[in-house]
Amino acid sequence: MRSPLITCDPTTDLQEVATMMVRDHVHCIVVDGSTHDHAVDPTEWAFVTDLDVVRGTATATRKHRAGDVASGRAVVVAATQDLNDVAAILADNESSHAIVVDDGEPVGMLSGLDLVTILAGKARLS
Amino acid sequence: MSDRPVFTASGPSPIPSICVGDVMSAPPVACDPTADLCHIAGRMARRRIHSVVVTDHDGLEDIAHARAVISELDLVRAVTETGVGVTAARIPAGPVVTIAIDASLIEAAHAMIGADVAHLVVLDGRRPVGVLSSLDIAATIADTAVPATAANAGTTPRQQG
Repeated sequence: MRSPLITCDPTTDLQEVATMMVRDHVHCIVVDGSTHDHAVDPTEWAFVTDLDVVRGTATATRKHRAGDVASGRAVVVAATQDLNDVAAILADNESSHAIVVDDGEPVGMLSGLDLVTILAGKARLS
Repeated sequence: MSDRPVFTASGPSPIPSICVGDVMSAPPVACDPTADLCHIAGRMARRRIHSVVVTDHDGLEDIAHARAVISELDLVRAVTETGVGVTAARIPAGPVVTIAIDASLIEAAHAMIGADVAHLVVLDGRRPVGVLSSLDIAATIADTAVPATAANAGTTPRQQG
């Protein structure tokens, strides 16, 4: 799991999103649409991926922002959730990433590759 | 004359006018159909890459030997449906979408968007010589504040991983 969560505002310029991805070597950033004046609300989160950035810049007739190209609601899982269940959730949602929450607070991002590597390692040991 | 589609930006594009070969990762990382999921996941994790080209048993000297491109999401699906012992030949994977090494990044971007894939296999003639990811293009978008001319042109491709 990558921690802390890397987030941007829906109004963040796509060039800035691309810069964040390259700086942190991540393929997905959380777009946090909450207003910050209330408790964390996972329903206000979305993912923007590197492919979204490419799509938004290659086809733009105007300058797009993170909130314009974010591809759907973010997948959220609990820190205590079984990893096989998390894999099923990712597959069902066709998402390579999930936000991990502990007691309602976001604590990091789990990628599909993190997950498969752990499951494969466990299988080898057993 | 090339039969590749030509895309023309209607205005200044954040994607710089450089060639695929200038920013691709090389060489492509490939596995044969008997490689199991653990092996593939391990290679991806060690090399910090998110796709592997599945070839037939004759290697990757010609694009005709490429069967599929496995992504991390393909691995996740395979874990849930089959388990970690599954081999590359049995992992449902994406198509092999290619781009010429001298194509522009804007052409590559449209190829990714059209096929809805995050990785293209880069060809020099019929020979796969690298992989271009959407993160590679994003990196050039991040860099467009820096003039993308002499500084970027002709740079040596990165080793994949």
